[in-house]
Parts: sequence; C-alpha cells; structure tokens
Amino acid sequence: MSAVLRKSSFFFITHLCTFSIPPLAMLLERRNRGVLSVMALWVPVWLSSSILWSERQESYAFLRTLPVTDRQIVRTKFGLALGFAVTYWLILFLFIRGAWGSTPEYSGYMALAGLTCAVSLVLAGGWYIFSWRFGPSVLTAGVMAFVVIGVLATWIVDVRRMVSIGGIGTLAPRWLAEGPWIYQAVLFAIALAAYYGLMRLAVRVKEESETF
Amino acid sequence: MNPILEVKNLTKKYHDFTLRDISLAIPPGCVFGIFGPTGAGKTTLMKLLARQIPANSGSVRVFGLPYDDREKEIKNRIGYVPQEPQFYQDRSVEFNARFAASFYERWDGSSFYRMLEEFKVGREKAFKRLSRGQKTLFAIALGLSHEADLLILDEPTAGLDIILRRTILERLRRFAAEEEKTIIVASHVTDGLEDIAEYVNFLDNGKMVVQSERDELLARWKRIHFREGSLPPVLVGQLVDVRRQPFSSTGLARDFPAIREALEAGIARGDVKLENARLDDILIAMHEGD
Amino acid sequence: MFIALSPSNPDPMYKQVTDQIKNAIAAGDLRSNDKLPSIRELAEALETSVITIKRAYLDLESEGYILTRAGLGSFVADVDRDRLRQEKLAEFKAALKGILATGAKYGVNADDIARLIREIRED
Repeated sequence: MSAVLRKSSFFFITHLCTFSIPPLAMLLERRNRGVLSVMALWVPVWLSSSILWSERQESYAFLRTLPVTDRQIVRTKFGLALGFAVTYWLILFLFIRGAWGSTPEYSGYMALAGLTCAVSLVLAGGWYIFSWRFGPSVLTAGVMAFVVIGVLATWIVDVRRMVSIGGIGTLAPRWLAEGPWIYQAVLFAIALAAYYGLMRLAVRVKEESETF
Repeated sequence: MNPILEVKNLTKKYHDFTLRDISLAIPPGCVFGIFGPTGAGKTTLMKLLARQIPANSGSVRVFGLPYDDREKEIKNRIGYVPQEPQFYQDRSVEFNARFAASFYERWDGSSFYRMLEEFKVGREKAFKRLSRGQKTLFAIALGLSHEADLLILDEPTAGLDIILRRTILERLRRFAAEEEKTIIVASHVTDGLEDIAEYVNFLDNGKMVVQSERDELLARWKRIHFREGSLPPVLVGQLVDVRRQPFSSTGLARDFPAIREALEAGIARGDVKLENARLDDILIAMHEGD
Repeated sequence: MFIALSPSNPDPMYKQVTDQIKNAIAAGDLRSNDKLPSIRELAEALETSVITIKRAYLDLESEGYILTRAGLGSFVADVDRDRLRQEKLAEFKAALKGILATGAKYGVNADDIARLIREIRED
C-alpha cells in the first residue's frame, strides 16, 4: 500500500506547494495578511486538482492483478486526501494565528479556513466516487469545469478587493466566525462523518467498476 | 485431489454479450486450455477467474478459498497475464517491477531479473516503449517470480512471431511440469497452446461446449478420408463436415471408437484412410453444429 | 529404450507409449524388474502430459506388463517371452491380412506372398 501512497502523494505535495508558495511569498514580502483568505479559498481547487492528476496516472488494471483489495485502495486514497486537508488546515491555523494573534480578525479567517477545508474534504470524496464510476476522462472534464467555475466565481465576487481591504467575516458566515469554537468543531465532525459515508459508498463503487 | 480452481454456475452479463452458467473444476498440476472463436467470452472468463471483474452470479473458489473475503491471499499465490498487460506506461520496467514486488509476500528478485535478461527486456526502458511481445514476457516474468501456484493467461502468444512464441510456450510448459503448478490459458486454437494443454475446453458464444482431456478428444474425433461409395450411408451420416472432392471424400467422426470396427474392412482395402483431427476442425464443427 | 511420440500417428498418445514400451520389453531393451522412469520424468522427457503417461502405465499394469509399487515406482514385470511372441505373431498376422486384402486388388494372392517371403530369405 505504501507504494500507492507514495505515488499519489507526489501530486498532492506538488499541488500544495504550487498553490501555497506564491501567496506565502506575498505574505512574507509585502506583509499582506489578506492572502491567507485566498489560500483558504484555494483549498478545494488544489485538492481537487491533486486528485485529478493522481487518478489520471493511476493504473487500476495493474493494481487489480496485485494482492491488494479495492477496499484497501479506497481507504488509502481517502486517507491521503484527509491527511492533506487536515495538514493544510493546521498550516493555515499556524499562519493565521501568527498573522493576527487573538484579534477578532483571527476568528473570521479561521472560520473561513475551517469551512473551506470541510467542504474540500467532502468534495474530494465526491471526486473519487466520480472518478471510479465514470472514469478519468469524465473526471478531467468535471474537475476542469469546477476549477474554471471556481476561478470565475472568485472573480465575480471580487474577492481580491475584499482581501486587500482585509475584510473579516465577509467570506465566512458571521455566526460561524463569531460563534464559539464548538460550531467549527461540529462542522468538521459533520464533514468527517459525510466523508466516512462517502468512503463506504466509494468502496462499493470501486468494487463494481470494470477497470479503467 | 481437490481442484485448484472451482467455478460454479458463473454468469456475467454485458449489454451485448452474456457468459452463461460456466462450471469448471480444474485439477492442480495441469495445463488447462480454454479455446474458442473471437468474442466467445475467453477474456471475460479469464478476468472472472482472476477476479479482475466481479461476476453477476455464481462462485469462484481458488485453493478452496472464496474471493469475497480472501482476495488478497489468493492473489498472492496466483499470477495473471492479461492480453494487453497494463502497467504504469510512463515508468520504467524497473519501477513497475519494484512497485509490484512491494505487494507480494514472497518475491524472488534475482529470478525475475534473470528472466528479464533471458527475454531481453531492458530494465531501464519506459514500459510503453516495449513491444507487445516484451510486455507479455514482462508480465509472465512477474507472474513467475512470486512463487505463484497458479498462472492465468489470456492469449499470451497472439500476434507474436514464432521464435517468441516458442520461448513463451517452453517457459509455460516448464512451469507446469514442476510439482503442482497449474496453468489456465485462454487462446485461439492455432496459437500453439493446444500442444501443451492437457485439458481442452471450447467456449462458444458464452457457453462451454466441450470439456475434455485433450488426448481423449483427439481419440474420439478422427478425420476419415474415403473413396466415394466405399462406406455405408448410415456411417457417412454419422460424420460431420463432410466434403466431397473429385478424388476423395472426407468427414470428421465424432465417436471414432464406436465406428472403428466398421471401418477396418475399408482400411484394409485401402479405400479408407485415417488422420488425426485438428483441434480447430473440431472447434469449427462444434461451432457450426449450433 | 527408444520412445518417440508422433502427433500425426492416428493412435492416441497413451497407446503410442504403451505400444513402444511393450516393444522395448519384447525386444529385450527392458528386462524383468528394470525400473521404469517415473510418470513425471517420462512426461517431461516426451514433452507430453502427465495424464497421458499415467494412463499408459495403468494400461500396461492392467495388461500385466509392469508392476507399480507405492513409493518405489514402476517396474517391468516378469517377462513371459512366450506370451510376447504370441502377441507379436498376432500383430504380424493382422498386418499380413491387410497386405492380402490390398493384394487382392492387384491380383496378388497368398501364394505370391509366400514366394516373396522365400525370395527374401534367399537374399
């Protein structure tokens, strides 16, 4: 299993770096803390793209000939996405903490980070199921469409403007940003439960699939 | 002896093709051949036996174990060589080998690399750059390097030149000749596998129409060449694929031992000549008999 | 012992093996109590299946030519020279019958055949 893990994590790591390093550079150079919300908003994008690229190069026909069950493969892939989502949330937490300490802005940004990571997680589960049900070419179309829509939506909402003026809570719902931390914990728990449910479904979908 | 692989009422439905109600009991230590025309379902059957695809109904037990909860255990002990070997195309032969090796409990690296050398498959070459024959040889080497007890192959010699074919057939024959090693191979009847198969099974249009020991089959079916009029019509009526040519008539006998005595007079007179039937003749006769 | 299997021979493989082993015994290449190769060895040597050799050995045993001792292998039984001779004679008789039947077509009869045999002896 570690062989599959190693092979797939390559794409997650490269995507994570590609999408984090430029904004982090901006953060450190120009002291523009607002880019942290961009980093938070981009989680669904790079996580989805990582999944797309790791699935495209995968050879399930090869894996089916080896002594490894579909269940193990699904668990490994889902575990990978979860691991990266959680790790990234921690990275964001560290930077947001470092940028705003315990000021009110901090909770706004943390709410955003929590929200996007939770959503990305569930989205990731969905992409895997989509990939195993319809194949890598359909997945490509799906993720590409998502990325394009995501970028467009970001533009339409004029995030850039809001980020540059350091808007808090404009992106995360007020009740989440200003409510007690337990709200975010529950949000994460719900996302995790949904993710687990998707994983169970994914195992069935994978087992039924004729290999791509 | 317990069958090494047992199939009961296996069925697989596709929207344009169905593999119907297949039952097999494969004894250990033999070469089990499954032959049939294109589209008969050979690849589907091989994939079902090696659990590359799920079945709609029926059961497959390997080493007495069901795939449903012992898949990993079974796959550790079998090797599957598909028609179009799938690996990581962009990576090297070496990478693919190490990748596969990491999954097997018992991996014999030195034996594997020796085989690659023998087959002249370069270690550093990107997999997609290998010729079809080399890809098959790689897959076979992989199958033979983790102490598998059973090898399942799908048309391993199709489209290969005679020298490569001979190499593969020889390797397979040697593998099966070792204690208790079994080979299940799907092929066309003229690809050379019929010479090493001990059991011959004909698959036609999703159904198994013949299941027999090869020698038995060849003992029952014979080609009879006879002078027109030298055989009683009732005997000629028992032959299939009867063709009348200017200087002789010929037909296939389905049950030679039963008519052998009746033919002896003709043979002694020189009006009847016997010939071994070819497996493809038998397969065609069965196919047209539907 | 010399055994060669021929796929073009109409006799089934197992019969070709039994016949050639019988011939070897009759000709003295194999003597009483000689050990025969194991089933697996012979199958490998003749590049044929174990099933074929198993069948051949079984037939030879049921006809009394060989004995199989569990764990030790198969051995040539006590050769009854007389019986072997009788069987060879029966074989030749059948062959001669065939020759005579064919000969009838060309106006060759039994006396002609007998004369041929005498001519051969004088050569």
